[in-house]
Amino acid sequence: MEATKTFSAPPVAAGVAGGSVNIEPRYQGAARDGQRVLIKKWFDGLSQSRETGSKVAYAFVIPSAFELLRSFDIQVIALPEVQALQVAVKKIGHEYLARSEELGYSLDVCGYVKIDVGMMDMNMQHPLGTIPPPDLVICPTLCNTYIKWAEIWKERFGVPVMLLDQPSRIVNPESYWGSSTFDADRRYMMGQLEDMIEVCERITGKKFNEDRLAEYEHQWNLVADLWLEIRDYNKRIPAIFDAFEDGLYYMGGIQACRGSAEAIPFMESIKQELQERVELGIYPIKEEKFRMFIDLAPCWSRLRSFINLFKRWDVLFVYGTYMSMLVEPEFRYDLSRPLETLADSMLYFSTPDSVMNLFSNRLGQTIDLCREYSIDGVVLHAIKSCRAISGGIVDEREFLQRAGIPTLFLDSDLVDARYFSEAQMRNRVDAFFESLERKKYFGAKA
Amino acid sequence: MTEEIIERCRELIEDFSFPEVRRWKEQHPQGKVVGYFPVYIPLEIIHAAGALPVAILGSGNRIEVKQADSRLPSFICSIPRTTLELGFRGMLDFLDGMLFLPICDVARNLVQIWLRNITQMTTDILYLPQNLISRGSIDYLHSEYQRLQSLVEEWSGRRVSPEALSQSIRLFNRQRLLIRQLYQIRRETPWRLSAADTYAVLRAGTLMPVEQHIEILESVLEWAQKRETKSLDKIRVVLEGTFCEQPPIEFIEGVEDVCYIVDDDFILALRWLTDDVPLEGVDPLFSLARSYRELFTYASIQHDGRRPKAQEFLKKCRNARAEAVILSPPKFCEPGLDDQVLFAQALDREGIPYLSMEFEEKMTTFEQLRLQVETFAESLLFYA
Repeated sequence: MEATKTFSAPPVAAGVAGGSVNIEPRYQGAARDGQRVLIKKWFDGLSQSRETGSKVAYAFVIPSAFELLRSFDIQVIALPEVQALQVAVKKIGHEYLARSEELGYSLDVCGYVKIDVGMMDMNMQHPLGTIPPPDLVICPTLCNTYIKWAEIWKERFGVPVMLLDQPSRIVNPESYWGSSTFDADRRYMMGQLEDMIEVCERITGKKFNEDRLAEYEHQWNLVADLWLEIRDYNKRIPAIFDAFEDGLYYMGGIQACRGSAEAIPFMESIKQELQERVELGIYPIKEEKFRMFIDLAPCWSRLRSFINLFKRWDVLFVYGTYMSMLVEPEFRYDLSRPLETLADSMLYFSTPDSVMNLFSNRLGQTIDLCREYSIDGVVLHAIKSCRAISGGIVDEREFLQRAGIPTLFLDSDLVDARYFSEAQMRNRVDAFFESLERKKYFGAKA
Repeated sequence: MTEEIIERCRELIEDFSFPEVRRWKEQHPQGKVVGYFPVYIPLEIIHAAGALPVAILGSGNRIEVKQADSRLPSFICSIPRTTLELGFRGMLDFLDGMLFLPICDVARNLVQIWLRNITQMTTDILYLPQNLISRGSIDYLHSEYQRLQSLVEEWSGRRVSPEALSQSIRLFNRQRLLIRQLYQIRRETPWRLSAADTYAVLRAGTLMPVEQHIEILESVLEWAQKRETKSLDKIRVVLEGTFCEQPPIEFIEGVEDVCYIVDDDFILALRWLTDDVPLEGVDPLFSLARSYRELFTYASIQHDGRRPKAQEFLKKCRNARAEAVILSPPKFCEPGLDDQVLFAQALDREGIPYLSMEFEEKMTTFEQLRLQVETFAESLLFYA
């Protein structure tokens, strides 16, 4: 069966349902514009750090104690994963990959690491500006490749690397919180945060201020609350935003200002935009034919092609793990004990309850979310160079299917377009949605 | 006699019916067997609880992978695949407990796949600290070892007393000393003891009680020390990259055809601690925890904020008087492939030639490997 229609309108303000709306939309495009402003500001901060004399931290998208960094007024935070994906989106990733391969990095090494290595060898030139060298590195250990990456920086820049080691507690997680194991892990994490404080004090010449930390944590709690409200818009049928495309804007904006107060107005503007869509009946897609869940990131070098694979079938991604993993829905900082609660958050991320958890123990969450969001199926995108995200994905598919959730399996890479075989992917996508269409609309047992 | 022992070790490491473990179990019907995935666990704690620790290091190129391939993506290394296959086939059903170590992103996923699919045994994770220099690192590890001890006590039904643990540490200290002596022979007179034989003897040691292994080591050591063999005109190399996934023995032999492998990173479970764990006037469990950091040099899967691992790697090459290095990370191994570059850069700075050559445990043809190593060795022997 052919795809029903091709839909190529922009993702927002795509269609107005009902046909009798006279009010002009006022807030549409707010998320897209907001993230643009925030990313520009973020890059200005990076590019101008030498002139402004600002201290620079390298950190990762998995929460890297951003609130603690900002409490020391370390506001310039480089996120090399995001910087790498930006290079790929600009379609110049291959130049950086080739440079790192010339230096000896294998085809099978994480593509983000390789783009960053290539960039270091190209005088830190990034399409959006120049990335400054770090004054310190914050390295959570939820992904082991982070550690290898930090070792490369240590070798190159010789700056302090603050590991925030997060013990993996996925066996019997229900009895973990409050157990003696948890107590020992918390002491370990507190020690690491105290080490970090010592280094931050030395680098900035400022004393640790618990109230300032609590202030940043309070702001992040507000962000988390707003985030939940935003996420919930998509429980509606039809859904209000495209968790994949709109989600990229949301995520881009939040990443650019992690842990800072700027995230709050940004979140509010998203909420305003979505609320207006509800009121005016604006939907991201004319006909919501399939409500899908996507796990995890696309191939950034072929972003448009990746998206178009699904557009042909009027697929709306109503939930995306990539978009959702930035804000922890169930965890809030306890402001009465700012440092300890930060330690607790770092430990929480390595339990199966956390949306930050990269590994295939998210299975339980996925099944629950499919129910909550009335999902028709799950797209699993296995990423060759990210074994954290994708190492368990095939087994995950087996269990999703056993749970009765139709699952489409695709594989390529985060950034390396050499692994993106569009024709092969299209075949899989078309076959899957043909079958799902029969099942959903014609009651076939496919 | 000793040749027969070594031959027996070679057979043992390729026999995935785990005959020595089964024999132990027959002799100790109440005894518990605890499996562990690479790289290192404190074997002493398991031993002191009267249980038998057994390394589960995949099944190399001996068992055809069928079921596990349907659960793992194509772009990950081989050892989780062949380990999972053993689990799916029920070939590890003799294990009472299985311990995994989140040494890399693949290993972390493997635990979860294991927990979902291989349910006939108790599975747990030992989380060794990646941060060795934090103020709480050793206390944390001590707690983690206490947790492991309680876990093993529960599995075995036997309490571990400090005396029993000290006794176990003494035994493993002896085992480590003998292994260090074997490596001294390899560094000084490599023609007396091949790397392939050393590998077989070490790996066999992870499949039997330590007491039995000590006897084997003593016998091999005595034999090698007295052995009358002639030195050949081969270059001296360090082989690096086999810290987790196991190289086929034919791979090691292929390198040895043209080189003396004077040091390597085989079976780090028995070599992580490079000296005796101190027992004088200190709680043995705490001492074991402290030794994890203090007696460790470097490994691709362990971060060490104290010093760059390339520096420790170079030290090993110098101590072994290596003329060259074979950097051989397993295919798809992120830690090995990342470190390969840092090591290569250090070797470049030092002027030590090296050959980069990935391996895979399930490889079955070695001709190309021989050709590569031969060309490399000849280029050094004749043109350097």
